[in-house]
Amino acid sequence: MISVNNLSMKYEKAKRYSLSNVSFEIGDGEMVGLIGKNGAGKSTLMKSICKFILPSEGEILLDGKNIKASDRCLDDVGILLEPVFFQYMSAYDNLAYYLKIHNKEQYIQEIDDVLNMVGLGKNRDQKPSDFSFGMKQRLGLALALVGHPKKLILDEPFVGLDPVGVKDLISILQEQVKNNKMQAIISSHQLYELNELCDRVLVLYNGELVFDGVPDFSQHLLVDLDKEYANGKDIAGVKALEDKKRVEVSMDTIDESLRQIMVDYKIIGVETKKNSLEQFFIE
Amino acid sequence: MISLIRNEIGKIIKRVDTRALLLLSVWPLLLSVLVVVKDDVFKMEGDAIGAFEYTNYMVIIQNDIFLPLLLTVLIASVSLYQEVQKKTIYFYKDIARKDILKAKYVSVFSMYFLFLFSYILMSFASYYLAFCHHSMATGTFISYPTEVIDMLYTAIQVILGATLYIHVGITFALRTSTGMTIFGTTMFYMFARIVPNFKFLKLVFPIGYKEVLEVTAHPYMCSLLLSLLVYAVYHAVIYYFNRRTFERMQFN
Repeated sequence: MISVNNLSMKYEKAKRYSLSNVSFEIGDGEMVGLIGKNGAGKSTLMKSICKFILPSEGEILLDGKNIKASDRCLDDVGILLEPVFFQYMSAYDNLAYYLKIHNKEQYIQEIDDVLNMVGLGKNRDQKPSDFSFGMKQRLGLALALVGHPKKLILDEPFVGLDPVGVKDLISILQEQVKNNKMQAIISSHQLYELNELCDRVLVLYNGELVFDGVPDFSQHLLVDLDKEYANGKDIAGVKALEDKKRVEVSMDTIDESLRQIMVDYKIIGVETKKNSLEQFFIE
Repeated sequence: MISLIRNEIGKIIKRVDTRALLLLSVWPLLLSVLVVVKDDVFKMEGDAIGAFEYTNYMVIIQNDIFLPLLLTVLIASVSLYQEVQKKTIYFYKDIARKDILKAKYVSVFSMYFLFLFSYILMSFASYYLAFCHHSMATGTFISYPTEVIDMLYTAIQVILGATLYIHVGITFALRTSTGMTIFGTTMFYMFARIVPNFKFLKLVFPIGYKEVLEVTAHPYMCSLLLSLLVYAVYHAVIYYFNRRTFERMQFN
C-alpha cells in the first residue's frame, strides 16, 4: 500500500507551497490517475514519493515503512519520471546496470523479454542516443517494469508514443497491474487513456488535492422542455441546468422521472450525455 | 555497498573521458616508439639514472603537466553534476545518498590510481625498452640509493597533493557546472603551487614541512606522518561538507 499523509512541499525561495497537505492511499491492484493542470504539483508529488525531492512536511509510507526513515524502500517500485539513460551504454546494459545496483541480478535473464514486451527487442544493443523520443519512452517503461516491481509510478507515460504505442502501453499496464496485484499511480494529460486505465482519480489544483475518487461517468438524458423547469417542484433524478428549459435526467430513474415531467411539461427534445474524464477535469 | 562500487567502476570505465585518462598512461611508451625513429629524443645532461629515478621523474613531470588531474576532475563532474542535471541519478532511486556518494568517490579515485599504476608500469617499460640503451642510463634499477628516500618522499607528496586537487574538484562538481568545476580546480591548483613560496602560507600544504622538520632526527618520517595527518584532516572536513550537501540535494 502507498500512503501519503499531510504532504507539503515548499521549494527554497518559492512564494507558495507546491504541495499543500496532500493525503491519499493506494491499495493492492489499484491503478490511480493523477491529473491537474501544469504546475499543479503532480511531478513534485511523484518525485516526493520517489525520494528525489525531500518534502517540507508530512510522511510517505510504502507498505507501512516511512521512506524518510529508511533506505531502499523503492527497490520494488518501478519508476518512469523522465526517459533518461546513460547514453554510452546500450539499452540492454542500461537495464542490466539498473538491476545490478538494486541487487536484482536474478532478473537479468528477463531483460530481453521486457524489451520485447515494449517493442524494443531488436534494439537491445543500440544506445539510447540513437533512439527516437517514443523509443526512449518505451525504454523508460521497460526500466520501470524490469525486475518484477510491486508498485509503479509513471509520469506522463503516453507522451511521445504513437497510437499503437499508446494502445500497447494500456494493455501492458492493465495486464501487469491486475495480474500482479500491483499498485500504480499514473500522471497524464491524456485523459482518455487515463480513463481507460484507472480505477480512481486524484485531482491536484495549485498543490491541493481537490478530488479523490471515481468521477461520475454515468449516462444521462438531456431533456428540452416547452417551458422553464420550476425548481420548487423536485422530481427524483431530475436536475435543472443553467438553461432552465433543459434538465438532466438520470438513467437510473428514467421511467418514473419522465412520467412525472410529462405531467406538467411537454418534451420537445431529447439527447444523451456521457460524462468523460476530460469533461470532469475541465469542470 | 561493494556491489554498488563495483558497478559504478564498471560504468565509469565505459566512458570516453575515463578512457582518455587511462590512455594518457601510455605516454611514457611513446618515448620508446619515438626513440626508434629519432635517436636524439633524450637530450639530457647530468648524472646517469636508473629505472627508479627515471620513473620518479616521469610521475612528477606528469603531475606538473596537470592534464591527468584535470581529466580526473572532468570524470568527477560527469559522475556528479551531469548525472544530477541529466537526471540519470534517478537510476539509483532511494539507495542511501551517502552510499551513492561513496561509490562515486571510490570510482573517481580508483580511476586516478589506476592511471597512476599504469603510468608507473609504462615508465618502467619505457626505461627498459628504450632509455636504458641511452648514455644517460645506468641500466640498473636504483642508481643513487642515498637519494631514494628523498625522491620517494617527493613522489608521495605529489600524489597526496593530487588527491586533494581531485577532492576539491569533487567539491566543485557537487555544486557547479563542469566549466566552473574545471575553472575552480585550476585556480586551486595554481594557488597550491605558489603557496609554498610565501613564508606565512608555507604550512598550508604539507609539501613544505620537511624543511621545517629538519631539526628532528627523522625529518622525512616526521614530515610524512604529519603530511598524512594534515591531508587526512583536509579530506575528512571536505568529505563531511560534501556529504551534507549531497544528502540535502533536491533532484528536481
